[in-house]
Amino acid sequence: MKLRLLPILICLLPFATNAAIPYRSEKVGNTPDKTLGGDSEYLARQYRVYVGGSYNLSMWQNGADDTVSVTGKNTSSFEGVIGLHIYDTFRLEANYYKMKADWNAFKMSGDTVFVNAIFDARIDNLYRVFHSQVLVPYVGFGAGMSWNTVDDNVTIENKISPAMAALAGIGIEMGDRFALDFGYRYFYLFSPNFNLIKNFDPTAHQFRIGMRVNF
Amino acid sequence: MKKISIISLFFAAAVACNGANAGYDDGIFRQEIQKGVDVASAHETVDTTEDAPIGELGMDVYKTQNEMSNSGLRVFIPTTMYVRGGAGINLGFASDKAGIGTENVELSGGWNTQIGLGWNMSSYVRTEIDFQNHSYGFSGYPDARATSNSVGGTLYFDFMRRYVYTGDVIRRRTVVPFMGLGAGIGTYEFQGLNGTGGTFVAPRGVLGLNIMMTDLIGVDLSYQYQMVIGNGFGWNIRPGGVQSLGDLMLTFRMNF
Repeated sequence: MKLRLLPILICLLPFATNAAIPYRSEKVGNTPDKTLGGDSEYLARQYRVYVGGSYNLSMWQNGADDTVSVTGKNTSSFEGVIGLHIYDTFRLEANYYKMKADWNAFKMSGDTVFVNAIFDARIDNLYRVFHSQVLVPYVGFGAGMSWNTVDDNVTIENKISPAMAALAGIGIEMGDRFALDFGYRYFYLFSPNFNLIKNFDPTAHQFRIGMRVNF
Repeated sequence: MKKISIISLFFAAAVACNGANAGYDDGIFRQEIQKGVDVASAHETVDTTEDAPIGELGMDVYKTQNEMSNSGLRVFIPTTMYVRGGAGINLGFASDKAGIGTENVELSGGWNTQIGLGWNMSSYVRTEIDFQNHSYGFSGYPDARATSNSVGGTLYFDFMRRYVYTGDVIRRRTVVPFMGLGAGIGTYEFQGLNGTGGTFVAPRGVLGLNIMMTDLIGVDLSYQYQMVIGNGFGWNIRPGGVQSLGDLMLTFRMNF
């Protein structure tokens, strides 16, 4: 007798097979348009990391308090960077600078570390395909710390001092991987409290010549 | 129960028939009338392939690189931001004198650097944040110096539209005068005994001329006026007061 139910079940089959199967299509992730020049991370995506190094010429500025005056001299040093291209027009870098400062009364050296935020003047829209850009000017600013030592005649109260910087320069890009870098940095070191001269914040105009390699 | 089974089979047949496709619709019928049965049938039965876009087949064999580089075509590149950097000199004759005790001394041999990051807000208006470092000298006192560092913001108004639309052609003006209004805040120091110093606020006005060298890179020649409100300007003087300073600036601006 239960076989009689079979036709009923067969009757239900067409309804079941024709039943609408609800589905939903959704975009998984936010995949940017990867066509040439189609987004602001086109180059940054290919070469996210870069390293670089440069020669540093520093022109240390004079300083004076009520009783003592010091005259700044020029010094040479080096520095290195490792950075990330966040966008094609913006990068963050860790910057090590072997500080060598010199005045007529004393010398100071130190290990200075900056985190620099840099804006590259690079065409980052669709029109970059029509524009071959070799010169890429940039501006930026940095903040960091410096571990300082001075020579025997002078002492400092703070071995570690905050430092700030304003940067500008031109990158000459020779292909996607390699760039020459000609830069300027205004270096400002908060006073380490010298015993010789009061309230003296060492500052310098620094000129940098170096290179960067993207990978 | 037998009747129920028959009814069930009847429903099943109804459902099956309901899903059947007649394979003929009024659209086809209209086409047959308008175009003829043979043409309409051919459209329905013959497989057709879309033509390849012009030049597509040749792409397998030939590849053109840097096609635009040697042509005379100029492309309008819309830019949103710019960077600016350069230097300037202090105009002693256009600045208030500094005080050394009861003496007033003219500024001489001062110079400054400027680094800026700007946004092109429209064809006429742009805004910018900048960093400036000043070094001031004083006439008759070669060893006396004063320095200042400041961060400022300026709103610029270009007196002429950068890009001019003439029908389908976009022209770029080479020379565009501009003015700017803004303010800076920073620190300054007159080095040596009893020199004034501390923080200052300086409303500023800028009047200049922009000369474009390429579609993206230009030179700004400008006069900057600053009204420095601080703790005095000199040595052995009474704190307070307002100092007017004038600078002539030459900076490079790169749009991107």
